[in-house]
Amino acid sequence: MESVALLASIFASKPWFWGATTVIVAVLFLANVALFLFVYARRLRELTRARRAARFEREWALMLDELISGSPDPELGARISRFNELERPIAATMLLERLGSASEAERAAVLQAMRETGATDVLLRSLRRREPWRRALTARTLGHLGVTDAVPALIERLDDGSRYVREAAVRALGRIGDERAIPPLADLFLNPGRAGAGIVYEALLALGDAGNPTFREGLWSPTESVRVTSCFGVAAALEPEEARRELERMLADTAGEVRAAACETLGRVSDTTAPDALAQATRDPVPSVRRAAVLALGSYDDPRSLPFLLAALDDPERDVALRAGEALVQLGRLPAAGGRARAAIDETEAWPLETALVLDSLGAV
Amino acid sequence: MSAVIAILIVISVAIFAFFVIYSVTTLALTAFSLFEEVQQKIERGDRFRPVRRPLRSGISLVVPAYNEELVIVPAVRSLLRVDYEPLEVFVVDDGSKDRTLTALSEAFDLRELPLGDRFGLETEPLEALYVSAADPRLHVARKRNGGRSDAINAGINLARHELVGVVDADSLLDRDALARIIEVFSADPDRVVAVGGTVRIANGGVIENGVMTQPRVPVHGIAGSQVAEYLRSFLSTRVAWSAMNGLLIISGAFGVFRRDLFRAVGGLSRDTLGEDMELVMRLHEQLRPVRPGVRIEFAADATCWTEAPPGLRPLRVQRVRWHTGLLDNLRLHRRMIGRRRYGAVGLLSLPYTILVEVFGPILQVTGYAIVIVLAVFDEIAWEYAIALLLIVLLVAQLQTAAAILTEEIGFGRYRRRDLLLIGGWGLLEMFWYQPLSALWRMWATFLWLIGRRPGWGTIPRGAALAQPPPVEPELAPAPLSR
Repeated sequence: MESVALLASIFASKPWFWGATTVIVAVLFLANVALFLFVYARRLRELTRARRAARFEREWALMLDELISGSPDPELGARISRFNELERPIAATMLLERLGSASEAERAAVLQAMRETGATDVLLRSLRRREPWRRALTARTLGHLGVTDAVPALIERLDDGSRYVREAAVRALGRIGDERAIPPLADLFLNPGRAGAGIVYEALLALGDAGNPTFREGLWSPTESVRVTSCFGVAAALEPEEARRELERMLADTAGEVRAAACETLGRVSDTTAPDALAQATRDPVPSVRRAAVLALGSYDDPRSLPFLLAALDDPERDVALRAGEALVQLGRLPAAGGRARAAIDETEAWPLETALVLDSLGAV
Repeated sequence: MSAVIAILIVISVAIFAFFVIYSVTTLALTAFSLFEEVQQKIERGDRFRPVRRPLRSGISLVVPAYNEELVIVPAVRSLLRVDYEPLEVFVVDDGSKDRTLTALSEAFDLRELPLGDRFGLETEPLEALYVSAADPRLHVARKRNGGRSDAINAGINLARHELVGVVDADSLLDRDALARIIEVFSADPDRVVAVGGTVRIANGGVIENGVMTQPRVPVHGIAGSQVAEYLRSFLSTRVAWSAMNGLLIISGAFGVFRRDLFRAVGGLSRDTLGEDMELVMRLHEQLRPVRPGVRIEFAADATCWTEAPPGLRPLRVQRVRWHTGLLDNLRLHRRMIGRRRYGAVGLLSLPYTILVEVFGPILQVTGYAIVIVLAVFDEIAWEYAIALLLIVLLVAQLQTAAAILTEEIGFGRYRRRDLLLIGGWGLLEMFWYQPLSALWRMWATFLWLIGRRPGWGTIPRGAALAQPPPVEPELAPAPLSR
């Protein structure tokens, strides 16, 4: 009673102050309790969900066997359409895992069965779900299944508000390989920022020859990063001779990064005659260009590269000198230039070369 | 007497005003971070894994090592197991006096390489360079002792990939840590120049094959309180600063930078004890006026596990050094304070840091002193003091609770018992850890003002990382809690 009286007297002395203090303390205390309760309620929910998920995983594994065998129970479609919020992502993830190791025939059987049971319609509807991660997962599933009916809906998702959904749609379109996807993917490639450049590049490559004009067009893009990625695209998609022609032109680009990409990719389409411009690029003012140029020269079976590579051993950039050593070692393995390169290696005493020889002995060149 | 009372009143009002501003801003940052993490969760879902990105940049990891013989081998093994290609690891032995180099040589079969020349950044001379025959992605350099910054700069000179990561030798990376960092780089490749990861405390956790498999919160108060402190620091504030592009620090334990810019700004400074923070501030100061969109980001889901100082003495040494570094950096980069051209760094994070980190400890210690003096003279108004203490306690606990919630929503790495421990240590630290920390920081301020520099000191290492995995992880005692 005494303490209550004491509290009452304290409150009576400055009611506004103590009133405000009580409110602040109460709010802070309740906020603390609410946060901790939330954490533990979430834990409890996760525990329950984990049990339900484990049970569902066992059931779905059996259903997946049926789907992959190509003779599913006619009731399966109805069961799939009744999957709840918890079950759908689990089903999609497990399906993706199974498809990862499935043969083409098994994949086709699953797709057929899913079409017959109406499961693909469920997936198509899921592309419009509210949560971005559900849309992204659905796009991945459709891509792995190769659902051509989903192409228009996936193209729509290229303008999704979430980058993860857009990138999942890009990958799915690449996997499905339908040519209807080329114009929007080309647009995404030439106007970067909405999806990772590498991801769009890979999707266009998967579309085969139909994607090639985009890479050619990209070489003329005003955006530097597009020109860089286009160099890789041209090298991977065009015939080597044609690619070399296009890429040699890029060695005159104003941007160092583009010239470096052109050098690197010229190394990927090498033959027996190294382009003169590539040899000249070993004297480029930008170190990354020189680095890429010397490495690329090492993959052309052309003895004319030797003096350029030997000169590059004295490059003021340590990294360029090291790459020149590695390129000389690579050249030493090639049939036409190999003899002269090996003789030059024997006569030259330069630390970048010695480094390359040690690395080569370890299989690292 | 009346003058003394007047001074006391002024100081008390200043402390109260500081507390109000601190509480409001810190809780706002915490709420912002929580909001960002929830958004991220809605976007990515529970089962998010970074995707393989074609044409992605290679990463060279630089690991400075000084007397790290106990931890260096498991740390390097952990780095070589990271899921990322192309990757190379450069360990720079900064003139260790122990068996750091021998341990590496025995574990990884090192072969000598020519030293060469043409190093970009100036450092103490290299004495030897090696490559591992067991895994040629690993290179080891031995150099004359020059300090952590010097060792990292030497590693950057040797690194060959476009991106360079700096990882401490007493740290372990999650296997997907680099892939998650790259997610941030690729979201905005033209503007992001550096990304830091979350640093968590490894003490007490179960490590298998160089990977943290079961994080635990130590029962031991010093390490336990640091778990709560790190969670608050990384999950409750850095997420928000990163979203505002106002990040002032990428922890030295784990950060990835564009190599060309790292070298262009001159590498890490040897003149400050807070070299990791200094580099980030220098990047802001030099790049933002010429490239206004440039961003330095934080990837909350890219995790690095580090060993916390297990005792009060090493903790004091660490905190005094950190605080001296902070003061150095604020002085060095004072030009940015309040300047709009530096965006959130100049207008928000620097003023906040000065208020909370520089004046905070001074006001905190002064407040404790006033309470003690008044209590001794029996002049204290207990009802006011208790009310204030209660509010301080609840605000601090709210921050811890929000960090736990962010951890739970975003990552869910800890068991229920560990979350309780974090909450418990968060509550208790107000009575011992916080006052001690404030005292050390005030001491560091004093030393800094009179021009005395603390040394790096020696922090005992190895207990958390070098322990072999227990046979029964669930039942075994946590290595550092003994």
